[in-house]
Amino acid sequence: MKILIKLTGTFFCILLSSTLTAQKPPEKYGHIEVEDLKAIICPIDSNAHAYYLFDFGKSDFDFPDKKIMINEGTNKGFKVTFERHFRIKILNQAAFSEADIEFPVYRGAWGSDDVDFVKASTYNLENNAVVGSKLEKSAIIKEKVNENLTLYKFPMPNVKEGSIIEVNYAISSYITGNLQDWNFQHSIPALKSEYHVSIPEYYSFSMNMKGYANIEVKEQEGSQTLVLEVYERGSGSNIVRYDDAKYDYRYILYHFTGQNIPAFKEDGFLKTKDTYLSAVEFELQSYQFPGEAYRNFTNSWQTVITTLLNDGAFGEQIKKSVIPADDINLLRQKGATGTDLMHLTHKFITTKMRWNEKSQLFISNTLRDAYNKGTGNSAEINLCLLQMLRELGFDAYPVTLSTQEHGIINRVHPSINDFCYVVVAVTLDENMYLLDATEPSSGINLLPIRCLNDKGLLLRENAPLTWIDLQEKAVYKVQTLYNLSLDATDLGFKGSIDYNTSNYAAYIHNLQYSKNKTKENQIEYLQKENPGLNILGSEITTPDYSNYKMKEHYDVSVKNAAETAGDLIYFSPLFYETTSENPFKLQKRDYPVEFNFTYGIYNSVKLELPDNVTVEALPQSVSIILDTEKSAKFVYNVTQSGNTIQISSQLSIYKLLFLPEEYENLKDFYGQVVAKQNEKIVLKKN
Amino acid sequence: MKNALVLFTCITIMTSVSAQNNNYHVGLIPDSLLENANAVYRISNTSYTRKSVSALREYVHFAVTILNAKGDKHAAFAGFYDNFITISDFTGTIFNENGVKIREIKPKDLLDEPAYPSFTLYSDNRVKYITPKIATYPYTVEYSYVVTYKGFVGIQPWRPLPDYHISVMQATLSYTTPSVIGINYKMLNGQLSFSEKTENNLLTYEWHAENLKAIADEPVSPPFTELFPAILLSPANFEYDNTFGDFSTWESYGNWSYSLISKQDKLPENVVTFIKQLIAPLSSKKEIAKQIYQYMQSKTRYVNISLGIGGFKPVNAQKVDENGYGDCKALSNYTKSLLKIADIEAYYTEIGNGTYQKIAHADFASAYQSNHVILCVPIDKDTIWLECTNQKIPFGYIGSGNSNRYALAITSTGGHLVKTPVYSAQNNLKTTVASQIILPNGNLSTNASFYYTEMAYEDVFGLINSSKEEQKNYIQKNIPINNLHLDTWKVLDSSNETGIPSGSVQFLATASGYASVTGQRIFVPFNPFNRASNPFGGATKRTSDIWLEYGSMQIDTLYFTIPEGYTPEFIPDALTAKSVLGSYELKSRQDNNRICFVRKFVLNEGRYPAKDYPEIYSFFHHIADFDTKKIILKKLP
Repeated sequence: MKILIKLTGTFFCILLSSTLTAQKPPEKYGHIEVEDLKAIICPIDSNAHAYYLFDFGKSDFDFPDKKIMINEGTNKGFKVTFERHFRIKILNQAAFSEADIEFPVYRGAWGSDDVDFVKASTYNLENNAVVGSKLEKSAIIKEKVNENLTLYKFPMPNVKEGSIIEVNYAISSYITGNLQDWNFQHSIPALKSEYHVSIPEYYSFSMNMKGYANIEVKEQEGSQTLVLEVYERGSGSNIVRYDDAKYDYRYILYHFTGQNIPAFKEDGFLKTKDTYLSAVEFELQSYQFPGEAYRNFTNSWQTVITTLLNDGAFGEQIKKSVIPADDINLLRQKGATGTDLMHLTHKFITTKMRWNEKSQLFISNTLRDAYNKGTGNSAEINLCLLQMLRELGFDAYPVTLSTQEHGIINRVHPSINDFCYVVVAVTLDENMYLLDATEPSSGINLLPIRCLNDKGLLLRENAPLTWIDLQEKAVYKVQTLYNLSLDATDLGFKGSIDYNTSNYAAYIHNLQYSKNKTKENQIEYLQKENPGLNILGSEITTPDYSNYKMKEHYDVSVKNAAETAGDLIYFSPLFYETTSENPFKLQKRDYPVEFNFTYGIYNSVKLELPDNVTVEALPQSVSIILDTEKSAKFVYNVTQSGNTIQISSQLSIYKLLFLPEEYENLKDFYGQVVAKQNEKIVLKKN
Repeated sequence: MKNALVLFTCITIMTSVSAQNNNYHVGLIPDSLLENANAVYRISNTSYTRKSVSALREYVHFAVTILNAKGDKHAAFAGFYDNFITISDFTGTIFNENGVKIREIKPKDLLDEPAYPSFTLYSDNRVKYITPKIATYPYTVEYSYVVTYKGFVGIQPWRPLPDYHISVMQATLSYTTPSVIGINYKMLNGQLSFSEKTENNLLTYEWHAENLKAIADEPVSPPFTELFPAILLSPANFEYDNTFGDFSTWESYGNWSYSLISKQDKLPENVVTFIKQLIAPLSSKKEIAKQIYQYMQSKTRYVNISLGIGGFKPVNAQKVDENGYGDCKALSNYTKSLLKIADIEAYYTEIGNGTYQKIAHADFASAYQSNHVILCVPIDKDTIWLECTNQKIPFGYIGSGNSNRYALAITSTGGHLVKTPVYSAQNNLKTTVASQIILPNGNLSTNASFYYTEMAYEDVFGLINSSKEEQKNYIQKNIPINNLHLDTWKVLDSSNETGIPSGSVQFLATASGYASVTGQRIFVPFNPFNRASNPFGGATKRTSDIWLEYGSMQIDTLYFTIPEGYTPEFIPDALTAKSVLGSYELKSRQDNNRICFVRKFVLNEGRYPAKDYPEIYSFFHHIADFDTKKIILKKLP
């Protein structure tokens, strides 16, 4: 790192002035309150098995290497030290695993981060006195996970029900861009969580607050002076003291404080808990040291686009095609155009390359390697798809997105880290078509479900910023048609079942069918999933990419669907399409309910009854709307005409996201759907 | 008649598939080996060479053709190693369906990561592995590699048929050793062709299998370890991490274990004094043992750190006392040392824990049959068993995972096989007493109590130690009633009162839409809580025996109060089913506006021959149906 020499004429190094790291930690190590040891319940959550008494973190910048050699760039520059100090109260043995501590230490091209110190103790109450057991250094295990990561692990000694464990450690790193994120929320409650970060003016970080807990943020400014000794290499091995360089700089100190933060509890219908866990994240946007060029990382989405399109593991790879001319010609010769050709290309890549289940934004091997080996991560496969489409003359662009597991994109703070995946967009005749070749069953504008998350960013330079809504077209539409007649002697039903699916319902059905591979396996699979079902014949039409619909027709006989009670016969009108249970079981929910698509589920059953029975009772028709916004609707109709009963059930969900306040109504709605669909048709034998 | 064991023929196929002739064209696989198979092993050769007591070298070479996505996991290579094991000389090749090579896997392509289970904090076990992803089926992968052992205690069983839905064209195991050192072996579950030769003072055993057909995975089967052919190998003399032993018999095996534990029981004076004071007021040996056991439970927790001989040798008692944690070996040894202070002799006892792990061979001693340690404490005329890794389980209860099997007590005179208690139906009892009120809108309100005794205690153990809210969430999620809402609930541990492991759950709850209402009728499922199911799916044929690991008994007494204005039109009654493996009986009676059901369901542990399948299937089919029966109530005019 080069430093501009400023002649100041003053003396040597005053080391960092004391005000910078004057942040006293809120708690003194080892000062345990007997009250805390005596506690038998968490003050904010009577169900907790353990809780943080406090969790304190601190990140400070420091410039330890005060010697600069002119023109040699050997000075390591700023160092950031992250210190953590916490106390956890263990109420009972269900939380003993909280006493097995672990933290990561990274290694990069610069070398390994340093663990400055680790101290930890367990405190117990014995005869009303606080007795501490110190962690022995020898108990610390350093596990090398891989080249870049070592895990420090240690079990706390003498942990019993009621113990308090205290841990304090510090890690310093010269890669100052890795400013430590901070989680306020954990799987156990925290009475207090605080994070102090002080950042010199040379750095510009974006800060992203996540989650719902109430975190207070305070800012404070200060100034700092740094004096460095500058040396010059003379002739031979002479080193001559040149002068001092003095830098006055400002810094900003952030205090984040949270009190009484509840434990995070996981539940279903949630794409990822990361979106909702209370935390603060930092990402380096730019830095500039005196005398050095300004280095920008990410500042605007346009910069993100440019950075990605020039990255060696991304954009650079697209510039030169790795697809052999023979393969291109193979496709050209088919004579297809437009979406037909897009589909053929998609099919070609899905056959040629197999996804290794890794969702990544950047390539791991070269594109050529991946293509030739026939396997790759999501970036490798879709960038190959992109190249092939371009070679065939399409206007194709990468679209980066965040998968469901990875969380939502923070639109306010542009960052490459928001993305973890790339798909391909083709613009043709003012339409946009999205494709993903990791999944053979996916189609044009029918991306794998993991991609149905938030918006994707179209990577195109010199063009207006374009975000593509990945979920707006995601629909699950299914129509099931039962056409059955009842045999009163053996109480079996005979007839046919038709499934007409489109969009994501077709995608899911098709995915299952391709997993089953053959019609025989498909039949075996369905018979296993639907007890009592016997399939006598079938006709399956798999989806055409252009009109993603699937048709399945099964000739069936159904046994054990009807029950007898004396001379009564009764059964569930919707057979295998009955919603048997309410998916929402909890009383209350703290986080939203997230659906992958909107739903249109239509079931129709036409029943022919034999002459020797009469209809005793039929369910009543009903129509239920979830709320004034009509977020969901359920319409159920039962009619009889002579020996024929016609039942139809229509369940529609129009919204993808239901807020926690709406949970109770949603749960009630489903409760009514389940109750109605389970009402029986009752017949009487003549 | 098909036997539950593996049937294999010795047809030699047209081209001799020797290791040199690597023709992996998929057409060369006989049709009979493609049935039911997700993958076919073309060759599978393992050869061991013992150079000295401590030096062992294993050479592995196999090629497997993957037929579909379910077989992909067999295309993986995984070489486990630690500080005494190295993996080297790795080669890997991928072929397409015509047997043409499409690419090579180099050693640098292998990933290298820690490899130990989640309950272990840290161990030196690691694995080098790769899972190739190939776009089209079928494809073949071929691997060869060398494993070098610097000292070892045992060899994993060799199974030519490694899993369900796999077939094997040819598999060979060979073991070469200096005659003076020798090796013990046992053949299981079928005869493999076997040859033995001695040349230049080197003894070689060889086992060979050909054309093993794929076996389908059937539900409720004995563990595959008891079905598939296997060769067990165990060293007589061996060396490991500076210890020496002899595994010729369980007795001599026990001597080695004893040498590892014998000096680990020293405790400092203050601990000795403390224990003596603790037990001073007690007189009965059993009471003293209980007091010491419970003291240990309150003072320690389970942490597993396993390195080298530490995988076999317990950390000394003093260290455990200082740290307050240890694994099953350390905690058992610590408890044994504490009991010694009170002059109670407890035996450090090795055991295999769980369905797939047990000391299965009284006549063949080897490492890896056991994976856990408990204590066996003879007191007066009884034997008290102690599980030392859990802070909450009742004194004397070692749980179903340790039940009904051999265990090896380690004594100063070597290892002695003993048998742990069996849980039959009456030792795994769940009793339900519940009163239900049905409303005309189909809503239910219930006052239900569940009692669990002995093995059934394990069903409620986790709940006993959960928070109030966790209990509620668990109950609401696991009781098969829709929209169940608990008003009050209580979970109790009554082990101390009753003297045997026992617990209870009681709650008051409501559920909307429990009974479905259609017109004048209400359909009320008579069995809200314990519904039997048919584990066999629709399968009509059966090859393997049927195996119930434990017995169980459920006795339910259920009362239903009929709403005013309604009368029962139909009440399920007199439903019985009997089978060689159990029985089911449902009786009902009506008392004015109350209907009472008594349901008794018994399953008996055991292994039942496949020929009994039709009867067993019919039994489960019927009881699953019985448990969905409904009371029909009709509105009075």
